Amino acid sequence: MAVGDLALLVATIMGVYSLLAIGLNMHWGDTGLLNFAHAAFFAIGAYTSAILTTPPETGLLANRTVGASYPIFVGLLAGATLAAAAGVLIAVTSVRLEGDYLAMVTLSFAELIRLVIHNEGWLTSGAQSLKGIERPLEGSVPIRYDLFYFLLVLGVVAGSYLLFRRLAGSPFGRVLHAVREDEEVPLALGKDTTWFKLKSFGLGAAIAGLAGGLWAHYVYAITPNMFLPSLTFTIWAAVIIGGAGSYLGAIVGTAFIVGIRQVTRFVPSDVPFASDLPYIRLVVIGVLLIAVLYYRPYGLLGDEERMLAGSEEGAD
Amino acid sequence: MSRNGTALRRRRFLRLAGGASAVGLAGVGSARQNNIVLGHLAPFSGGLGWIGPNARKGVGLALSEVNEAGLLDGRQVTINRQDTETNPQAALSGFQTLDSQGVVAIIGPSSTVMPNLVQPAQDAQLPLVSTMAGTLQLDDVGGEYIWRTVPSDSIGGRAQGAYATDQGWETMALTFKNDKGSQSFSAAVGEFFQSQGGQITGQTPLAPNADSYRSEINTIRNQNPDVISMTAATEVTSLFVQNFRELGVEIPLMLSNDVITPDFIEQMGADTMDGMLGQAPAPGPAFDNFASKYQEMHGEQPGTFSGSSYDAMNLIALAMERAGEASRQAIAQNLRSVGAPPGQKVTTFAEGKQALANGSEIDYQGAANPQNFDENGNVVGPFSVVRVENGEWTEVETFSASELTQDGGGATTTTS
Repeated sequence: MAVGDLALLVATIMGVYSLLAIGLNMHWGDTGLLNFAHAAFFAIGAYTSAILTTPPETGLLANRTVGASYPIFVGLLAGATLAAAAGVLIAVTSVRLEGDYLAMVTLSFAELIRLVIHNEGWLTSGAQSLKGIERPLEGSVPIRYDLFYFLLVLGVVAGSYLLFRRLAGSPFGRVLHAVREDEEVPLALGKDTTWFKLKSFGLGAAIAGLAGGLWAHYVYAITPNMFLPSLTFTIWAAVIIGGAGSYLGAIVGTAFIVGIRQVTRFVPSDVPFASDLPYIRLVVIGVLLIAVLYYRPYGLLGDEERMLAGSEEGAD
Repeated sequence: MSRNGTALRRRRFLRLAGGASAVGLAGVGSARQNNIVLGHLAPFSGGLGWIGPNARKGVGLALSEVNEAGLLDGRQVTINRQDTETNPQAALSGFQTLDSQGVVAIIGPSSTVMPNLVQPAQDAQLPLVSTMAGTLQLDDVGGEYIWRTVPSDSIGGRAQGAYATDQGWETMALTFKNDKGSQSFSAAVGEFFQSQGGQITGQTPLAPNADSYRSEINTIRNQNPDVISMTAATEVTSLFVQNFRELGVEIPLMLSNDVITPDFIEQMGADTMDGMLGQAPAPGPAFDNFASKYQEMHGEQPGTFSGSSYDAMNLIALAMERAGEASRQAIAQNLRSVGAPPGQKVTTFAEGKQALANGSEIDYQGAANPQNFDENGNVVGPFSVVRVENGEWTEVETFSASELTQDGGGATTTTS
């Protein structure tokens, strides 16, 4: 049957989430910023691209009055740009906050964005789902469409991976690492650390926005509850499991998380407790995550040094 | 931790991971040849996690009856159950998982995720029978692979609008929980009321998880409507009604399907609820029999969407029985003829199987609804308007299916 469809869907989800993880790894892995607004950047990218490429619906529940029919690549670009702008905006106002205070501000910013999307139906269709989102080049690719889309996402992931890894290894990246380890040191060397943090925030948010656009143009319809904080936490789990600081780790961690969410769907329904299986499935996922972190506390591909950064042990 | 220890642990981890994927593969291989596998995709977690179990129990009852009576010369039906997590992305994964397992039909989920599944279901040519999506957005997309065993909100909305018109009320305030389903129902009420010459004074969304709805209620009171139409599930409704009584508002209040239960009156108190209005689909022709069997099997009364899920399972099984084969095409092509007239009226799979064996056509009469599909895969059925009198929901007026679908303005042709 359609095993291929499932494999391609899962692979595409892995690709899109990998982009999110790459962005978050720039924030957390490289710069040490506790960003909990990732779902919001994803949402901004998705909604911007969808609104720019999908004319308003008609009918009784069609509350959206804003919409255009620009080409999809314009939507994707605009989505990434706006997400970057949102990232810089939130960073400008709060990046000087330390650790957990920044986490709180970003988390509430993400919820604010989601509630605005939920309530401003004239712009986003609100709870009614922004529907009828076009897929790029549908009907004019010579191969299976799902395969085409997966290859497209894969290409973007590969490009972003190379770009971000290069950034991390460049002088720019080394300043970010220094900020992460101890912000006083690069400050003492005359680096404008706030400015570096803004750039880090903007870049990571841009890639999340691009991921949002790619996702919106794949799933036909988007609704505000696709962008709950649980999405942010999932990406956090992926980055931590993959190993913070490693871009390959971010991708592997994402593949692992999306993979176990999918594999647990194959547990047959006729086993004991099956009536409660859907809940048990989520428990199993949680236990697996705990198990991985127990055996690999610094993640699958992370390095020990990164984990110890800032601690007594690491200072030795 | 030493390097050596790390390597060992890594190996152990790989073994564990290998074991986990072996479990997964075992699941793939276990769809035995002679079994017919159906999918059940429903919200078991997330925002609507409370209705998945109701649907599961309804399907479970029908499943045991179908397997007892024997489908297609005694082939066993099994259910592959997948969680939508009330989230479109998880719903898509669940859908594709079911598709990849070769299910012949899916008993389907709620309005929240249906828009994301319409196209995939059509692409996979896989019948998807929702047992809980009332949204107007599905009014004209079904009939081939998309079906539902609950009436569209446009039908229930008409019942409320028509009752208000019959009372001579000229102005109505709409208020609704700010979610997809409630917005849809409320829009349908307003649309029909206006088509009958009524006037809508305002639309007030109610944020979920609020601590108070007093300011919203004051806004509505200041609009000075003849009647208030309020659409929300139990939690929002209970707080709203509480605040409504505290503020001493005297305007008639019409509530929505979800709260038309004895439990809700008990929870709120008979005095508080006295005189409240509501409407609900009149129970289907087979409801009483269904409810007693359900009580016997699960030890509780049927919940929201239990009956429609029971019906969906029966209809799919009957469609296969009529076609004489278990395939997606067979189900898609036979659902309407087993659900809608003409034919001998049957209320269970066993009765239907018997009638089909005798060469009759059948007209399945469901637990939730008569289940007479129209050309777009929607069902209509009678709706009752009820009022709380002496602590009980008492029927005050019933609108027949034909009254609710006759032309004369209204919401049957809506949305894309």
